[in-house]
Amino acid sequence: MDDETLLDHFAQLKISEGHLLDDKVITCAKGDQKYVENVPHRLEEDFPEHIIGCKDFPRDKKIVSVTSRNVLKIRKSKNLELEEQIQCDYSATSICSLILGETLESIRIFFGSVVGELIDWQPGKEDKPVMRKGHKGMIFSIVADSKRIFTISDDRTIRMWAISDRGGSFCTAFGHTARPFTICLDPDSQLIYTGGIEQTVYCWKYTDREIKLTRKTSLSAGVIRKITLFNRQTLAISCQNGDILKIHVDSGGVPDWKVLKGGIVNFKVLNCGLVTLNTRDELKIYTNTGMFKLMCRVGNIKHMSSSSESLVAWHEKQLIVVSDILFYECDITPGPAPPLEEQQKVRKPHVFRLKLSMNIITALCWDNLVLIKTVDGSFAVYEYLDADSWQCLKRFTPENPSIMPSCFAKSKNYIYMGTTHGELYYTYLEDHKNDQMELALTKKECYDLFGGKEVTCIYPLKLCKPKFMTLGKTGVWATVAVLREGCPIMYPTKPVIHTFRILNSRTFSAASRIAWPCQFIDRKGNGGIQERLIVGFYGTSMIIWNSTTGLPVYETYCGGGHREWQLEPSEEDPSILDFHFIRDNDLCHQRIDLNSKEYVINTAHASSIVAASGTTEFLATVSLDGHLSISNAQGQLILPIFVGENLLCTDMRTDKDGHSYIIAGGGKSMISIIDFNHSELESHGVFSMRHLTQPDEGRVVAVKTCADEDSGPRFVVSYSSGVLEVLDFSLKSLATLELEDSLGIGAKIDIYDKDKLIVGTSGSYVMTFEMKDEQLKEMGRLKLLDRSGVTSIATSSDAIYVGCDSGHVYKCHVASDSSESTAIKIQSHLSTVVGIVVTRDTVLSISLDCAIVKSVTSSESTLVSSRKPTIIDMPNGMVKMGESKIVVVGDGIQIIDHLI
Amino acid sequence: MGKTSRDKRDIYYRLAKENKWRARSAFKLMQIDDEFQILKGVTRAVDLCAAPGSWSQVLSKRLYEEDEKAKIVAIDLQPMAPIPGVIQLQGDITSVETANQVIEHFSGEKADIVICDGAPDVTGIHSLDEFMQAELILAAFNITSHVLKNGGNFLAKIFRSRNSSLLYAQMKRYFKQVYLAKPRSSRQSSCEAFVLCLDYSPPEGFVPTMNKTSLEIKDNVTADVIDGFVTCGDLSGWDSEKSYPLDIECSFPRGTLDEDDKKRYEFKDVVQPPTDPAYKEALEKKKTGVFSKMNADMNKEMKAAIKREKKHREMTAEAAEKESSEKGPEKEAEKEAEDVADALENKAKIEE
Repeated sequence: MDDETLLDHFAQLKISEGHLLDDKVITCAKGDQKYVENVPHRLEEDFPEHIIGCKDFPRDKKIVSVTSRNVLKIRKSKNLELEEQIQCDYSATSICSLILGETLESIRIFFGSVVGELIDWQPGKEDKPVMRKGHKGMIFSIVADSKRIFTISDDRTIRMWAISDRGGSFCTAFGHTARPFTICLDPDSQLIYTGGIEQTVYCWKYTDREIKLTRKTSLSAGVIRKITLFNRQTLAISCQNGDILKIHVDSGGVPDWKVLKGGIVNFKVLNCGLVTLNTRDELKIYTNTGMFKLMCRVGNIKHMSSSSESLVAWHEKQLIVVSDILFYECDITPGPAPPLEEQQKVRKPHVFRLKLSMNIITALCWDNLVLIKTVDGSFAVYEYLDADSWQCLKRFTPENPSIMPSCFAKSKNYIYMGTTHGELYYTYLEDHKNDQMELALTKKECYDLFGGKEVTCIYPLKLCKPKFMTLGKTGVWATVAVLREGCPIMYPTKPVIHTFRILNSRTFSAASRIAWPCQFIDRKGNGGIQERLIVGFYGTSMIIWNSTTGLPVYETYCGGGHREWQLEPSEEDPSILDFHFIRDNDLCHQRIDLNSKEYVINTAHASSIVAASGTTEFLATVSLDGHLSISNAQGQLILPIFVGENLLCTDMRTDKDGHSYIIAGGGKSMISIIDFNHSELESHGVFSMRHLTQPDEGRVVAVKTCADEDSGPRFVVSYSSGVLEVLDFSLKSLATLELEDSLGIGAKIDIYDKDKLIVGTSGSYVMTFEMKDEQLKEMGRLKLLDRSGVTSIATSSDAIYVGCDSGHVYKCHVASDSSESTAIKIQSHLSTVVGIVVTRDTVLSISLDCAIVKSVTSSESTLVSSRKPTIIDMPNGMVKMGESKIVVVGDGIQIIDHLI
Repeated sequence: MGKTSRDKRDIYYRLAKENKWRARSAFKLMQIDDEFQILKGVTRAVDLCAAPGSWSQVLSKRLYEEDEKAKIVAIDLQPMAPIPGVIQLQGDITSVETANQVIEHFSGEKADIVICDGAPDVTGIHSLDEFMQAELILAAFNITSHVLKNGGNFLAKIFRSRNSSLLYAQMKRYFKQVYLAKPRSSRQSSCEAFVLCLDYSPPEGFVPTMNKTSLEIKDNVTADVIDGFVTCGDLSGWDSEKSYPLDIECSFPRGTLDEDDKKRYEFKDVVQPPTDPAYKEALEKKKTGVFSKMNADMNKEMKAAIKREKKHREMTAEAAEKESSEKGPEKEAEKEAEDVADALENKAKIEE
């Protein structure tokens, strides 16, 4: 990575390249000079002045910095010793700057002030700076090319100023509808990039006279803080939530299409050939042995459909299958690969013909299977191995003769079929007695899921228990698990029962528009992490979504009428996708580079993290924008999930058998439960998610999971109405309790001894409850003297620790007799306590004053032993992961290894 | 909003709108006053950074409506809608001139109390926001040192974050008592609090100045510098964290509400929107449809570019065809095959 260009993100401090990609990035990205460790010379000031710019003057061997108070400080390059300090004669606070000039003699400084004035100052030459007016709101960023200065401001405008004449701005461009924070210049292409709250990169073309908007690229990655140019058309963008990403912006040019002309209505690109169907009803099969050569031509074929490795074409009784699957010429079983030369020789499509006794209505293929529907309304599934071995796996006639199959798949002796009317059918091949295809889900479930519209894809997962994912035309994506009772071979007399359960279903509404998803693509993404993409269409564009966030990662205009298309990772590079599609009877080809948007750091949250929960293996974080992300112990993202807007709290718990439960809730009164098996999550992204909405209870303020050995996991929820509720795994309410008005609401909750509940209230009480016999029974309460609300809570084996809004942390004992309850102040912060972590002999707490205070406890006393500043600027929580690791979350994630 | 029997918004936000307070912060001042009685006996009060004016409203209600002789001066850079009994001064709090104008309004006497609920325009860049808040309090203190009588009180909003401890220590040099007050109407999850400085007694030889940029404290500062953290407001009153049913009694303190009022419950609009925001012009442009036209132009331009490109390609393709036909007819299948090869094996060409 080119660290010079990223320096700007790091407040123009030089950091060695080695530090850019480990966890120090977060440190540096904040640009707070205090925390940049590992630099040979650093400077800490007692009363920090906000540095808004600095520049190296190698000829003078000086480094200059400018501050928000419009002070210029000149320091020796060698040791940063202050040599001179000049105060500019201007009183308003400045928030950005630009330093021009190559020597201290010619230095010229521009300040952008909070009142919108651009201050033009030549410190060596003049006492009074020139105030250049134009902007009506604070200036956020200043850049320049050789002749002009460009500024961006709270008044939502870009203004262009001449460097030479020191007058007002000579050009103003409107376009932003919310606050823009950053401006970046590409002087070679005369382009300006701007961005801010709208989470969209605006691209502008400028000339000497005007600035014109040419393109908008929506990122949905959080508020854009800074844009810098890597090289032409590649931008580095840092976002408010701590993410840094690299994007490629095309300047509004034309997508690169390669076109095969003429009358093509359908096609399939195979590894070893190409098949086209043209308007003259000809099916042409080409081989690919270096060049495409016409292998054969079949007339009188009208229909064709394809899957990833084969295609089926038909007309009346004639059926042709062309397959990519390697069957070696002399050997009919797909065996070990012959030597490469041999392979080259046999690399040609395999063509199978079949003549049926009846006319074909429709046919589909999948792997080496073909599903055929004939005019008599019956269906048949054939398996082919070579031209002579066709085997009928299943033949059936559904009750409703009008159903039309839209997709099918086979996995672990199950055949699943989706229809054009949004129904899912299945058959179990081992069960020979049953020759019917049955509905997998009830009619209602099917309708709820697919809305009566086409099932576009069925994608079996390679897991030991049968599970598959499916897509629907209404923009839905679901994971379904199959549970089987009974075995037709071992217990032939007993009926076999299959139950299909929808583990989770999501829509693409988070991406602000419903589209038509039709295909999954699994590929190795950046850093070797397996990524699942979903491809679909919206209007005239092909869109590729990140399957888990539901956010689009790529979008390309390909014209309307794209009913026939094919998209797959290219062989050389999994980040390049080959996209073939038919447009106006031409076969078009486009290469898609998914690296056009690459995350350098990614938390998957588009706003700062408000709560977290950790176990030894996983970290769950939630943000107000509705994303819950599951990371591993190193803080690397495993899975981001869009749960629902305004998430406020979360809790996670892991069972002994490698199963985890996460509960999350927030402002929309919705409680979401996610549970997953560790290996299934990590290998296939499979998880189960359910929701419960309680509109009458206000916000969900706090959540906690706990386990009951007999009845499985339970969830405790506190609402802003003051109600506490205990739910079981099926989200059935087991017990509720309403806190009295004067106690406030249950702001924080924790569990100890499996079934004892501790509640810290906004009215400054600590209460304990016993969950027994489907009841919450109060065991004791303690009123804290400091009268401020409880904002964090933690328990150890012998005490309760609560942190308050006042900044104090108390060690409490709550007894049934309130006179025996005690609270001892053990720590004090200067701001609200937002997190407490307790181990056997230490208590750590963190507050909004950005400090972690550590105390060592013994049976007699608790003594503060250290105070350590955090990197995170606005910490919202601190959790423990495993035995020795703590994680601080806020506008980023900071993992601290050795504090415990 | 969906069907719900509870208003999920902050109760004080709601009460403020229903009681015509310009901002819910009005409750914060009332609760601090209830706790510390800071407005008792005050006849001259200054409200710094007053817009939109909710604190001035409280001053007007608690001082002017009690005693018409009470003088209240509200200073802000922004214009503000008028409030009975409040003298508005549109000026900069960092200039001595403003300070002198205040004293003029008080007929040469100094103020009993100075309050400041100002916050800088939050940029979201935390370190910068903190710095600007510190600068604002410093500016507020500077003008206070000019206009506040000895023994007077000073109340200012602060954000309790990374470096706020310095500020408490600084204030402690000029006031006998420094409290941190947190009204119940201020959300607990927010780092907002109010520094309440009682009994102004500057060190001997202190000369008020507007140019003070730092209050010269170098010692290590701990939480002990403040005299106490005080939660203001009755615990049995409204809780800003809690959501209440829609049909609560909507006056403050609790009053009566008839059945008809409950049925008529509606979500009320902001009492006093900003009068002159920076983005005013941009907003007007948006309203007149300039932006949608801009977007349409942008898309039009893009489509035209695609069309142009297509035409260009067709022309080059035609030219190539012409060229090849001049060479003599070739077998259809082979030509087609070449086309296919060309279309699919274009990697080399792209790399060129």
